[in-house]
Formats: sequence, structure tokens, C-alpha cells
Amino acid sequence: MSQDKAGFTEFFAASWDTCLRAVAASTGNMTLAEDQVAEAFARAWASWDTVSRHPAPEAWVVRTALNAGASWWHRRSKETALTSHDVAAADSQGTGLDVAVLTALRRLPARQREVIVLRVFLDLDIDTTARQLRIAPGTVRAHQTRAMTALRNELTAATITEIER
Amino acid sequence: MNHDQHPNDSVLTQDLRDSLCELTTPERPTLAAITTRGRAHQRRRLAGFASLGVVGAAAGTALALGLTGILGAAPARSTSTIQTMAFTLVKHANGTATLTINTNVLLDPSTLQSDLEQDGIPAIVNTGSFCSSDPSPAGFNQVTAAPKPAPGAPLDFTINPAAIPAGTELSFGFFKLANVQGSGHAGEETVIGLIDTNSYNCASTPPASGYANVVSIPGGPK
Repeated sequence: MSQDKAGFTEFFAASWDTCLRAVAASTGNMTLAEDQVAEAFARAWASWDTVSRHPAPEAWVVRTALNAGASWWHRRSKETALTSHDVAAADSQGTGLDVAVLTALRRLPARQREVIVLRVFLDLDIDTTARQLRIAPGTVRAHQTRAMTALRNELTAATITEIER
Repeated sequence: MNHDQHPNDSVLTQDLRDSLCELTTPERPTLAAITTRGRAHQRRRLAGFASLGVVGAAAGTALALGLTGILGAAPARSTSTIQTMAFTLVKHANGTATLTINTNVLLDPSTLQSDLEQDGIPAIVNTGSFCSSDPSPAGFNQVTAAPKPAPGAPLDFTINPAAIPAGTELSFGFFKLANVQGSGHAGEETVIGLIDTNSYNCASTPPASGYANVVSIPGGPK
């Protein structure tokens, strides 16, 4: 089998950073995200005939990476019980991402976080996001509205706390 | 701007994107590292075919229905068969599909979900959580039948995609539990239900026994 499946090399080079940033922002752990995204790209390579025809291959990689992470996270959560805030604060060290943003993202329900990752970080339109998540466009809008409200409130509160210190 | 949007949503969106751009990323792995890992996936898929053959022989008839036509002289790469280490999905000529879960292998929910989709079966697949609708849509019993697995044997479902009502989809939840169905024993549990595509919630625990249109099965992937 040829190593260079048509188009994969270019896709990998162009999309690695975007996918890694989106997954790292969602999980709050760059080391874990790096492994998840590498795994997702490996699966994309193995299934390139299918993935290359996907309407949003970057979204396929990100969702695959996040799903792999969900399994990992579920196993880990049984071993170490931490609040979401503790997790964000501990894991964000070294990512370069604003801790307040990371904490706010981690506090969103999983589906809302997925919508933010696809709509905001990958800049997908509502219909493509809906197809990717297998939900109705109206549901995407509702999740996005709730997520943006929660993020705005969280980040405003974090800013006020920072000013008061 | 959509009427649901807050006036400052565009500012917040830009702030989030800017924050993401500030994220420092480590050096990209080499293409060779990715393709090596990808080849390992392909090898595991082929190995899964071989190991499932062994499991099928050992388990007797449980796998026979799902693997009819692929363990014999027929080629492994049937266009109607998707095989991984964790599951086998066979699409039959009559439009139904047989899903066989190998309970001894870690399952990747995204792979199963996309492969079900490829066979025309809309589904949400989760590990460690289960999505359900309240009220749950009618028609589940026409879509799939509950398997009766023996301990350690694969889970075997026959699914009729044509019977899935419009606006609904299947929901699969695979759990590892400290106490399976009140038995006092740790183990795996698989939960299947039918949900309204536009109205459902997901929980990190299986639904209570007897929940409408949901089948809970002790056992499942590791």
C-alpha cells in the first residue's frame, strides 16, 4: 500500500495545528490532545478513502480525537475524582491557553462544547455542524446560544474576580 | 445576525478564536509516524477478522448468524461487512444488519457510530454515557431485538434500519460498572434505546431498569 494516499499529506500538514488546538482547548491537556489527535490522524490515514470524501475532514479528526479522549477520560475519572475547575487549572499549565477560557470551556456540557469547537474553532456552518453531530440545525443553534451565554457569564465573572484582586 | 444571538457574540467568538491562536503547539509528528500508526490500525482490523473467527468457532452458534457468508469461502472484504477488533457489522440483502460486539476488546464509539451511519443506521454511540429521550419514541421493538448473551460471548443484535421512525435514531451506551444491575459484581453493561433526534439528554449512568424502549444487557466491550 502506498504511504502517500492522495491528498492525505497535504491535509495532515494543513490541518494538524488547527485540530490540535481545538482538541487541546476542549480537553485542557496538550499532552493528551497531542496523542489523541495523532491517533485520529492515523485512523484518518487508515480510512482515507472515506475521510477524504467527508464534507469536513477536520471535524472528523477532531470528533474522533475527542471521542477517544472521552473513553480515556471516563477511565481516568474513576481513578482520580477532581472537580472540573481543578482539572482545568492543573492541566492548563503549559498550554498557553487562558486558564479562564479553558475553565469556562471545560464547564460546558459535552454537546455544547462540541458545538463550540466545530462552530467557533473550526468555523463550520450550522448545517455542516448539524450533520457532523447528527442533530437538527435548530438544536445546534440552541446549544450554541446556551454555550455562548454560559461562556460570557463565566468569562465576565472571571474578569471581575481578576480586577478585584 | 441570528435573532438568538447576543449582540456581543461576535466579540466573544473572536476572543475565543484569538485565545486559541495563542495556544502554543508542539512540533507536528512526522508523516511516517502517523502512517505507521495507521498501518497498525489496518493490521488490527485484519487481526480482528481472524480473532473473531476463533471466537465464533468457540462460541458455537452465537456468531453464526452475524458472520454467515464471511467465515467460509467468501472473501473477507465483502462490501456489506465492516470488521474491526471490537465489532462486526454485516448488512444483509433484506436490508437488515447484524451488529456483533466483541466483549473482549475496547470499543471506539466514533468508529462504530460512523460505520453504522455508513450502513444507513442513524445512531449515537457513547462509552460511559447514554442518551435518552423523555418520552421515548415508539417503535423500538421493531428496530432491534435484545440479545441474550452468555458470559464472555459476543453481543449480537439484528437491526432493521427501515423500521427506525423518521426523526429518531438508536442510542448505544457502553458502561463499565462497579455493580451491574444490582448483582454486586463489577462488569460491563450495554444499553440500547431509541431517541428523538431533536430532543434527548445524555447521562453518565445507565437508566433505571425497565425504562421504556431501552434494553440493558450485562456485558459489553472492555
